[in-house]
Amino acid sequence: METAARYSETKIKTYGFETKTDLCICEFNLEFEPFKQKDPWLSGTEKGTIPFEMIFLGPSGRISVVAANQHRHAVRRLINAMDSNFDDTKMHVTAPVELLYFYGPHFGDRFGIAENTLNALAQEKIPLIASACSGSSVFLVLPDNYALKAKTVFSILYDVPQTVQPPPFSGLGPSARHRRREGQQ
Amino acid sequence: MVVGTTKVKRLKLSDPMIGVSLHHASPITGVKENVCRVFAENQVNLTFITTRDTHEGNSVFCCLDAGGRSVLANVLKKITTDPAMEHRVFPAVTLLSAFPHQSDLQMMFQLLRALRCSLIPVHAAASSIGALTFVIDTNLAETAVDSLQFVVGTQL
Amino acid sequence: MSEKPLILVVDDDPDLVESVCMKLENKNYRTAKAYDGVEAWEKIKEERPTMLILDVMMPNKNGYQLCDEIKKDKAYSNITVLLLTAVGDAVTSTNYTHYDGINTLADDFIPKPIDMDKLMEIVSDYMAD
Repeated sequence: METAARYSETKIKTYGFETKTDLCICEFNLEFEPFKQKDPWLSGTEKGTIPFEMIFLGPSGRISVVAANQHRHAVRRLINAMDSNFDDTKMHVTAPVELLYFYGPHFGDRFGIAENTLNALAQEKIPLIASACSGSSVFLVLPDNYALKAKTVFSILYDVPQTVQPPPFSGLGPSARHRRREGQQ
Repeated sequence: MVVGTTKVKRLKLSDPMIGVSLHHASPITGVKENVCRVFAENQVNLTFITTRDTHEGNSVFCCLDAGGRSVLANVLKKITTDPAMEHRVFPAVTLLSAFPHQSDLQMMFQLLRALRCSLIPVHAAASSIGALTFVIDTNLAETAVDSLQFVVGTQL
Repeated sequence: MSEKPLILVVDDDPDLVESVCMKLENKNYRTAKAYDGVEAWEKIKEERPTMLILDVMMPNKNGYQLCDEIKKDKAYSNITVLLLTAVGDAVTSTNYTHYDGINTLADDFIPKPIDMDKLMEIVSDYMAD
């Protein structure tokens, strides 16, 4: 399969797949308040980082945050702190959801990766709630109990390196590792 | 004034791209798959893409590099045959990436807040493993960088 | 108690830097990050890492150039350099070739994409030396 002008692979290589379970997706519109002279957020006095797993937003301006289900109330508190007029009832939470993500070399510069990924899920009838391909990463938000199934599908579709292939110039360079290997033979 | 209390160390701007927003106003299947298939058939690289399926409809936002401009009209014709499919083209957008994000939600909100407070429309945004990427108008890219530098205190 | 070894991960792809650093930190190494060759040199001087995991194709200064500069500088030549290279068979057109790497003084060359667990094994091997 040709994946870009610069790449030609029979099977697209990735660095492997990661899954996360028991997550929620919180979706909301946010009116940010202007920065103040002594803004607690900017001065670093406002503590309490909330880890996210994935964030995306589209032209409607609606923000989607995927985070551990246990953090959903902390997400709500943070939003309330950012926007004092925020209407809690306007935040839509879907849970539990799962996440599968992977990345590969120069994924962002190559065509066909998104198509390959979405088609594979559709063929296996794995529903997809949301997705984002940015940088060299692909993130997929799936309903509960689907991440492992998707991972199995992708493990066949994509090439996950299992061994380190020796480069063509092995032994020509001053590689200590190669020297050790030669010494063992 | 540069405050610079966040963990972001780098800002990076992409070359100008074309943004395409598509929305199908019904929850049918196959919308995003069709969009990606048609772009791939035309060897158009989607540097950035987000999709969201809800009970109300399906949305896709993607950015293609300038090489895709020549085939865009043809591609859109194939994608938008269904009258329920709305689309909008953003002729000159740039990806502004901030990294590393270190999965810090608070910081992400500050970056978004800085852009919104500078009246810079964010057409789309998405996180990757290491970076947060904002899709903004190319003619506002420098202003956007200035506004993020206010928060992150780092140079481009 | 001795300080944990510091490993500097250098790549212009923040996704790769983040992933490798997370793996290394899980193995109890300290990590530093740089996103091009010039920034990496500054970090090397500031932080004196024990090891460099270094990409080849980078803006400003590529991995081959940086590796050579490190290995030719007596003050830093003892830093272990693992070159990560995506100039494998999959890449059909690039300005970089494996043969550019023949003359570098890197301690090891690892083609991308690499199995992260294997990379951790290689790191561990060198750290044990």
